[in-house]
Amino acid sequence: MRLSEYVDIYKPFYPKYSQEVLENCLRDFELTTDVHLGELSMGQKKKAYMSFALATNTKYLLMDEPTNGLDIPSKSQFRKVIAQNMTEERMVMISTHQVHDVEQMLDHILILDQHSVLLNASVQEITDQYVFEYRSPQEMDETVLYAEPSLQGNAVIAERKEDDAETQVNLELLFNFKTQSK
Amino acid sequence: MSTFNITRFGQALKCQFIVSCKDWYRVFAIYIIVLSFVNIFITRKAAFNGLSYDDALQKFGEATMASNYSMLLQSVVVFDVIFFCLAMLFGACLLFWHLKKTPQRSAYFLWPVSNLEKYIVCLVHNVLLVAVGTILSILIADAIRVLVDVMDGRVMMWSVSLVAEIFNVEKNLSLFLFCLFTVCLYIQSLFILGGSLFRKQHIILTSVSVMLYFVVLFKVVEWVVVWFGMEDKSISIVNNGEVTNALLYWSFIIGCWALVVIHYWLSYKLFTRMQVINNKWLNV
Repeated sequence: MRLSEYVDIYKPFYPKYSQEVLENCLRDFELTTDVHLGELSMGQKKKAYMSFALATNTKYLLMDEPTNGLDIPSKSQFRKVIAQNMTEERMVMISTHQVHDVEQMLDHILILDQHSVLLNASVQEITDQYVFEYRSPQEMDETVLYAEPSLQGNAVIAERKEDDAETQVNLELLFNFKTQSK
Repeated sequence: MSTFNITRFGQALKCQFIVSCKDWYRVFAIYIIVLSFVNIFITRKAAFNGLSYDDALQKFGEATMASNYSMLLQSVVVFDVIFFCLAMLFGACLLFWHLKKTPQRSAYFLWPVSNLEKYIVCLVHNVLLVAVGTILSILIADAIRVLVDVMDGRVMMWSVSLVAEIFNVEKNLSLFLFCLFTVCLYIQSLFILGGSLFRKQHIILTSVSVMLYFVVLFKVVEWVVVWFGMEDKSISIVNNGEVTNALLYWSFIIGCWALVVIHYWLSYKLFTRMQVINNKWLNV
């Protein structure tokens, strides 16, 4: 089945469907509506379906492991496409194990482990509370909440003091911290 | 979202058919091959008083051979009817065959179509489409057999035309046939329920459960008969095409139809409760 045929079948179910958004997303992913879905690789198929999902303009969009099967340039394309199509009225919920692929685009994080919610907080709340950085063994002090050895020194989560600068959330570290301290 | 919107239902029906049509074509192609093979096998395996068809034609003449061949074709019709019934039962218990895998289920449940519409779409495919497709397969297989017969120089006779003869429709048997239809519908509704209840191995588990159910049902009836001391009494509802006990007949019919409605309703309720990620054997 061609992507255009797939779109023709499913678009009547989405009243806010936009052909323009679909074409823009496909252009960003370097695809066209003429592609045959059966002949695409897993990653390309994913890009085609994601383009259609974004074009439906639904209020809520759920994505399960969206970056699985995508190569490195495609992951950047994915982030760009999502960022371009985000609006105030729309919520994209991403469930993933590939946390590094999406950590720059999140504004709310939920960490689930063994049927329980370990963390439910906005990125702002997390960055207000913690700093994520690399420290040498000499810099390890009582503010450190969690540390992991790494090639750049110890990757740590520490309590944020008033004069500390805001840092980028390290999701993998945060996940390990939350699962080990539960 | 409204429970039922006719436009959306029509779109959903069309959409599901387009997505699954290749599978349906494959199923009906298999039906045509099986039915054609069986039709040709039944009409070829028979020997006419120990003679081949050509020798028998020379010996008995065309009129006698046509009559004999007609009897042979009645076996084909009986097989076709049994095949149709089995196809309907398999279709019923494979009501949700397209929801086997987790991604299929999540995509189906997130589809912006109401549960009632989705359920009716499944029913239309697995009951109506299966019925129409199987009847068409039977007709095509019959046409193939007729074609082979013509090429073979045999009499040209459609087995489908013998259906009325076999079931004696010309006699006043409408009430008996209605009763038979009701029983078939009741059994089919049990398979619909089984297909919705079991998550894996739908056909095997449903068939075994239905068999066990009937064994238990007959035992209970037997026990009731003994309990009320009615072993020696003969209870007849329909005899030679006529209803002998109207009260019992209509109670039976209404009871069966009520159970059919309950089974379909239960099946719908099971569908609405179906979970995307679930390793249980039952959809409860």
